Amino acid sequence: MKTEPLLQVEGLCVDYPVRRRRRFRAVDSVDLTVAPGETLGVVGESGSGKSTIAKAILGITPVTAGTIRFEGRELDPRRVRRRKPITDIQVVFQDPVSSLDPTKTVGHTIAEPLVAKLRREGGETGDVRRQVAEMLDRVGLPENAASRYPAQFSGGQRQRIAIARAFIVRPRLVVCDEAVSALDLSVQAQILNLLTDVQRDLGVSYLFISHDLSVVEHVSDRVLVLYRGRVMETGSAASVVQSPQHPYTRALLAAAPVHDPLRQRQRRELRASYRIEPKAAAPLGDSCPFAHRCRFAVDRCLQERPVLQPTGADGAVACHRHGELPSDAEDDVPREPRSTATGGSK
Amino acid sequence: MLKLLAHRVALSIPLVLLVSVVVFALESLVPGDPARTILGENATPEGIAALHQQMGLDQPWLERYWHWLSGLFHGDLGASLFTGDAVTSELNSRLGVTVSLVLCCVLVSAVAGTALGMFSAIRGGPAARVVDVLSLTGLALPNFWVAIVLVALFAVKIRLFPATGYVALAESPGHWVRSLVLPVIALSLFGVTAVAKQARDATLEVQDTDYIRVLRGNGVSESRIVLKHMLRNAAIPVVTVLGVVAVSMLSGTVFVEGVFVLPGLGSLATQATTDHDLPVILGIGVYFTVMVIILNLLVDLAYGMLNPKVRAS
Repeated sequence: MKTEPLLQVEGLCVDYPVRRRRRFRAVDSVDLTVAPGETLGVVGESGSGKSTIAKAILGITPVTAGTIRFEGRELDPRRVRRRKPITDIQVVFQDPVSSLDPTKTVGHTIAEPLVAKLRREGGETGDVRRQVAEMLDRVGLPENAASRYPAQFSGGQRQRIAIARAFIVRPRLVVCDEAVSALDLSVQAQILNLLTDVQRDLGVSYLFISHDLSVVEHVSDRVLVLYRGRVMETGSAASVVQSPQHPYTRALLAAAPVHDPLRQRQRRELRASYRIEPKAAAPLGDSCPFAHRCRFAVDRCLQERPVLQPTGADGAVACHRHGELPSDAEDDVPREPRSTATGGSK
Repeated sequence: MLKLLAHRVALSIPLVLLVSVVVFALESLVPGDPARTILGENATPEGIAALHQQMGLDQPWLERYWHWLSGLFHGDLGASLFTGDAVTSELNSRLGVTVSLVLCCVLVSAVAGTALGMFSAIRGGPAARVVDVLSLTGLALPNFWVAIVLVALFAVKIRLFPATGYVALAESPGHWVRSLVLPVIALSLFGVTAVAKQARDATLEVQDTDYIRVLRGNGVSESRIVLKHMLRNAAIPVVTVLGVVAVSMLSGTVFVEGVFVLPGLGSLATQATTDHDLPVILGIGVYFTVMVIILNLLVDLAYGMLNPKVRAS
């Protein structure tokens, strides 16, 4: 280990109760680490457990099994209920409407976590107003924003307010749960740049959750690909995007549209080649969670649960057929400036 | 805010006129005849005709309406056909009863309804379900029936409160409260349940927002979250419902004042209708309309104060 990780999650399992006393495993034995100053991107489709991981780390949802360590200390999974908040972990949510109280001024909303923290630590609250003004300036909002209400701001501006509220208590880790997904493309870019600027200035770590692999690639150092609550693949952002090892990661990459219509058409054909008639999803027991949708599935995929095995420098993939798959077919398509990766295995 | 006020007041003038026309028209449809009521069973046709002329009832409908309307602009609502007293003085003497009844009911509905609804939403579990069931029951029971049951229980059986009658606040505050307890319970039951349901739904919605999650995650005290954030946000829809409830309580006074023999506008409305005392009925119509307008205005003002979105636009 090079450095002590800031956040270390081991064997995290989260079950949600469903009808008739049955339980649904939303997150299944997930391990992840976030180093100080690092951004870990978490991608996956809807229902893959991305947000549940965020909630477990924030202490909003009960954890079934596993440990969450922050700065080496194990966190109490029921810390929110027991009123032992970890203000070193903050969050920026997806919905810019529901994340701000419409009846409170922006200044009040940003100040409240700081005031609560200072009161708890017995500090002076006289300096709060200046810190709020400073934070507003940092996130690119005018000074008079403090006395206005959320309804007077656009979605992108509200997200800036939410970022200001997260950073006012100087956290070590900020969980961005689909923080830019509700914004349109140009605003997304602004907010992503703001997040990277703040990270550079304040040296914070991000757990960046998104369904959009291109956004995750843009901000992340490392990426974790989730499917049905399990880790399919991890690795550096560049290697996961440029040479995806897992069939699921490939399908996910092929699903994102590109600007060039010619390439988009070719990709559509590529995507069609990945698609097979999906069988009924096998119950998540001893099988690969992706087997029913995987073109490369063999009998073993349905009988044995794949474990993560190292791929290269720092990557890992959970696939029985790792090493047997053809190289990513997209390399056959002429690519634009971004340099062609070394391809799949072999 | 001032613009809103002026706009509302301007709108209320045609409303008062419309209500008076409707009341005039409806009254002429009610079977019976004031002259026949006054003169009793053995009235002669000549006697009735003479009394009609004396009371101005032989004039055409439109002319009588015009006569009444011109009086209204001078603050004169005519005189009762029976007692001969001026309608305004008779109504003003009864106004205090109805206003205290309705205001107490609005207050009780707002406080008890919000408290029950928020308790149910925040607490959850079996306690919440009991509150929900009670709310639904309250919604289903008609207020005049509740009134009669309350009288039977607390006035006749236990003799805790007076069964009937009213004592003015200026006379004796203690007796004023005692005389209003049962009527207020009977009349505000609907209001409490309607407000409780709204407060519960609104609180559940607020509770599920990300800003509440952020506050909890930052260790902001629960009482602060409930009082400063949840109550404030849940109050917006609650105030809207409260306006509707207050207006429905005005019509409820007609029944409840009847059961508890309170000398208010509602009981007078019943009496005047059976007597065909048109000037009194019209006067009550005008008073009720003005009260509805004031109540709605108060709701709009409260709404503007609570919701910064309204204030900004």
